[in-house]
Amino acid sequence: MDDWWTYSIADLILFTPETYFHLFELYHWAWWPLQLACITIAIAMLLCLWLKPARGGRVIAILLAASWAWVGWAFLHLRFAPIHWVANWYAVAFFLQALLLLIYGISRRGLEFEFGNSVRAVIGVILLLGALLVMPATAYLTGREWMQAELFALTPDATALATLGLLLLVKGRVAIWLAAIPVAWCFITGATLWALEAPEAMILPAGAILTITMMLVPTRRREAAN
Amino acid sequence: MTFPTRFSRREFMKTLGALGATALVPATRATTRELLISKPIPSSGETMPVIGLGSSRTFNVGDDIDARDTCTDVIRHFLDAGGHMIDSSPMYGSSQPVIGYALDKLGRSSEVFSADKVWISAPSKGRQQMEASLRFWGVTGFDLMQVHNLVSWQAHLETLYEMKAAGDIRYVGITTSHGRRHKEFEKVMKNHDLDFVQFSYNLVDREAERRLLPLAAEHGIAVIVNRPFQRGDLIDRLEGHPLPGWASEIGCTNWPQFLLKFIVSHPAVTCAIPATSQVEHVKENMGACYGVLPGAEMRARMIGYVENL
Repeated sequence: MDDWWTYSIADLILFTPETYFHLFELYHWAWWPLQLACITIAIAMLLCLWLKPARGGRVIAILLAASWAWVGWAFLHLRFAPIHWVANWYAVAFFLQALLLLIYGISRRGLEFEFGNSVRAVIGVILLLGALLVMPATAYLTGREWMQAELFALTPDATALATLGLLLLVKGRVAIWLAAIPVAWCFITGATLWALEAPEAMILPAGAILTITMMLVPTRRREAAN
Repeated sequence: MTFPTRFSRREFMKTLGALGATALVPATRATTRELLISKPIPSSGETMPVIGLGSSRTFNVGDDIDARDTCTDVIRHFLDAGGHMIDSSPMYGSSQPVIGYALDKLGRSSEVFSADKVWISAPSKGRQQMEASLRFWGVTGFDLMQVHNLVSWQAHLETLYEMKAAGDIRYVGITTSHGRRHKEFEKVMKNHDLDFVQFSYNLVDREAERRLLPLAAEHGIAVIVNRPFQRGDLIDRLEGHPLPGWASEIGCTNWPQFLLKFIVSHPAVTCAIPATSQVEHVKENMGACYGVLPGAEMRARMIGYVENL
């Protein structure tokens, strides 16, 4: 398409809210009871964070990579692409994110997590728990069916937000590189939901802005001090 | 092949009735269409009911069988009411396969004036995309093929002229929407041999009246109007207000008919293509094909009424 700049966001969203949200319902029914496995993955990640086992960072990175790859294939490619012509490109981005997480997951040091009393860590925990515990309820809270829920490791928004929360707990600059695609997704999904007039449209963009702020502000301070 | 050896009177009458009904159905549909307000396509004189069926967003339901069946019902009611033109595009996600699903299920693809679009930047892939569209629709050829939103229009128009000359399509057109690229659109209208143009026009967005509609009339180009309800926003805006009593003078019993009659009463407009996924809405929309169309004075009154709400 050589005239993309002439389109507004709403022009590019060529499906109705009913079709989009019903997609989640069909997807959840199709893969039931995989949701239980996803909840298990979430609990495993939280335990790794809490108990800090020797290779916990690697386990988290690999589980995250698997989640991104699954969402890219099962949701974006198989479900979303038939109604949205750019969804296969989104799927490619999700596979790339999975690859990046896998590379860090199997590298020598893996992802290293640290909890402190910093605002960054607090925001990270809030985003992570929000993605795991609050996002599944947003569909119901906004008047839709439970089966249209966002669920970590199964649907894109909860997966992206949980990833950002985790990355705020990761030591070093690697978090910035790994946050690029999840942040981009937060704005894409925010725009989509906004065009569909969904009340929760601003949740993910807000999470992305918080993440960017938390990741960049301390870096700039250090640079200024030098 | 086997033939019944005995044929009871009841069976005979039943078969006769079925044959009669089969013969009667096309005649009834033809009669229905004759009753509708229709306008001629200037380049051929072929007439077209003034209300068609769009498929942007509403038919993009993916593989959801229930939703596909609902779309099938919409198309069934559209055709039962004498509707003819169905318009789609490769840009509309699964809309083309959904139309194909419905037409196959109804067995009524021959009743449809099929209008589709080519929408791809690489000119060399235009034919390939149109062949895919044919497969999705399950038809052997399109009546109208349009260059969607002027994407690579120079090359695609050449291809469409070749296809028309070869008898693969019957009409050639270009489209735009939401007021995009009107200046370039005008140039193409002036300098190229077009059967159809498609753009947005409605009671509160009358920009097309200034240049595009007069130009279409001047060059003898049929006009398809998209976004007649501004994707439903216009209906939402008007729904809380009463329809004026004098709307009955032009046979309007609801806002969609009021808005559609305004559009198709413009002398240069051939038809409007509201999109819907609800049977009730398609019935309302097709109601605009009956009665009389407003004249210039009534059109001014319609504008005044809506602007003062």
